[in-house]
Amino acid sequence: MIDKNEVLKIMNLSRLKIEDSKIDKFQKDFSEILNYVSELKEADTENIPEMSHSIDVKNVEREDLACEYNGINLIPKEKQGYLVVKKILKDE
Amino acid sequence: MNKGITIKEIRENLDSKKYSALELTKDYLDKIKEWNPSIHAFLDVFEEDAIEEAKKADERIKKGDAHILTGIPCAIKDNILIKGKRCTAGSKMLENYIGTYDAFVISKLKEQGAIILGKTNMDEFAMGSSTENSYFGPTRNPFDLNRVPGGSSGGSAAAVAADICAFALGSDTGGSIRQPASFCLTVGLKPTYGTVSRNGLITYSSSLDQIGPFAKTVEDAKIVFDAIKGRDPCDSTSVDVVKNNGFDLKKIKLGIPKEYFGDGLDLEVKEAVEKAIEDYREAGAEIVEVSLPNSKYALACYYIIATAEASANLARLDGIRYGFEASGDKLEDIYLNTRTQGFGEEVKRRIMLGTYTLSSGYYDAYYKKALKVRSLIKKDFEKAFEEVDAILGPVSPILPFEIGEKTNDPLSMYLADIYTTPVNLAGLPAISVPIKLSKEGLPIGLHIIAPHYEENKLFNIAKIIY
Repeated sequence: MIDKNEVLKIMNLSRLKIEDSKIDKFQKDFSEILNYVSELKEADTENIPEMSHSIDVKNVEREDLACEYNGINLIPKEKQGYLVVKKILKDE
Repeated sequence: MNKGITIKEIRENLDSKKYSALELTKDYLDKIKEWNPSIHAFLDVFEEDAIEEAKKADERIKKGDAHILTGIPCAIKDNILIKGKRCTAGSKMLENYIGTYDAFVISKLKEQGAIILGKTNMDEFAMGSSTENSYFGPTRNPFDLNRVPGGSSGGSAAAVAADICAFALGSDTGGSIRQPASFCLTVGLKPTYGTVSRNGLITYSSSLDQIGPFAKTVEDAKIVFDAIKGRDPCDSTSVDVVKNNGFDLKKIKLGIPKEYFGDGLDLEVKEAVEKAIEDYREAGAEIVEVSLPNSKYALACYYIIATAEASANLARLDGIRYGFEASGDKLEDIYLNTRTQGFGEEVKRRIMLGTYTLSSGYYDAYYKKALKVRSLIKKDFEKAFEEVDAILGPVSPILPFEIGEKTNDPLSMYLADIYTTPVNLAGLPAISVPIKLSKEGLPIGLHIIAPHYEENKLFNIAKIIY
């Protein structure tokens, strides 16, 4: 069974919180899943390369041209012609 | 088995003016009103737009300018962007998110003049095998309203099965087209990775996701696949290399992996699949046993890779840029509260699993190991395909299950994907074809897997039995 502190650590890394009342059940389910995926350890992968893509992929280059993008309309607030977003940098 | 009206039949009727695209569209909109409250396949229905598009389609037909999909009403999984339309991915996080552009596949459908009736329900961010993980409530299986339609593209599968659209698009990361197709007695295609652009698909796991069609027949699935495939400059992994060789069933060799018929396979499913294999033998195909020895690791490998990619992909949903935002005193609290309130339980579980396997100290043992096992799984298939043209097996080890039956046991839900996930890991094309109803009247599908870019071979083989 995965340690409760470990669960809290992953929660923090994931920027997520599990309600206190649900944490025991989460810990149990998570342990079962980890236990299952740990079966991979038995596979003999000596000298086997890692494969992150199933087909051959290579860099595709294109000219750096501007194109239409309407995503800016999704930002909800505007002030004097500027888009208003939450402050994400801290004061020194 | 009653297949319902097909794209091919509708095309003939539209072209011969038996009815207009407008009449047909209104008819489908009426059927949606009648059936959607009990099935809950659609999240949004675009009544006005559909009627406008139908009028335009009728003009095109009149002018003799119709494509094969002009005037054909369809449904789109709610993780595929349509400009100006809400796209929720089944999540509270994106409840009010409006698509800012058309996905590549949507542009293709619009060019052809297909009528988009609405967006269909799905497991949140495509994470699930039952459509119960939707923030907007589950979809019900048209064959038994107390059972799930499969998932994650359950809304699209149920909509086609209930004939409240002519065809639908879904996405398949670990079986999310094929398993619901099997559960709803429809045809579902997961194309070769890269043959259909992922531009405009809200990603779950970028190296596994693929868009594909749900249809009433294999022929219809091919029509839709041909309409949406192709290279797209906006998706660097997209390619234009689908093969089209001659086909002669008498020269076809089909492989049966012994590993796909072991423990955990429902007896009725097993018998139905064995009967379908026998049908192929009688039709003249050669049947041989093949081995995919590493398939026993596929599900574990999938759940490590998919969740690792998901944990990175979903990091952008933090309440700062777009989507749901919760309040908080400090910046960290805004992130935490937004993600905690915006994501459902299964999404949280998968983000945390992915975060865990990518974290320091576990990366080599889990993620790196899974990438190596992925190589082994692909090699198994390559070796099998040296000998056979395609592989046959079950799509799902179990029959459609009851709503609520597995929601408390996530691992048992994951096991529903045991036969479908290896295909995504290897990037192969595969199709689910209806074969039979169980004694209780529940759908069973056959899984056919082909080598990369051999969709046409897949269609030809599938057409023999459906």
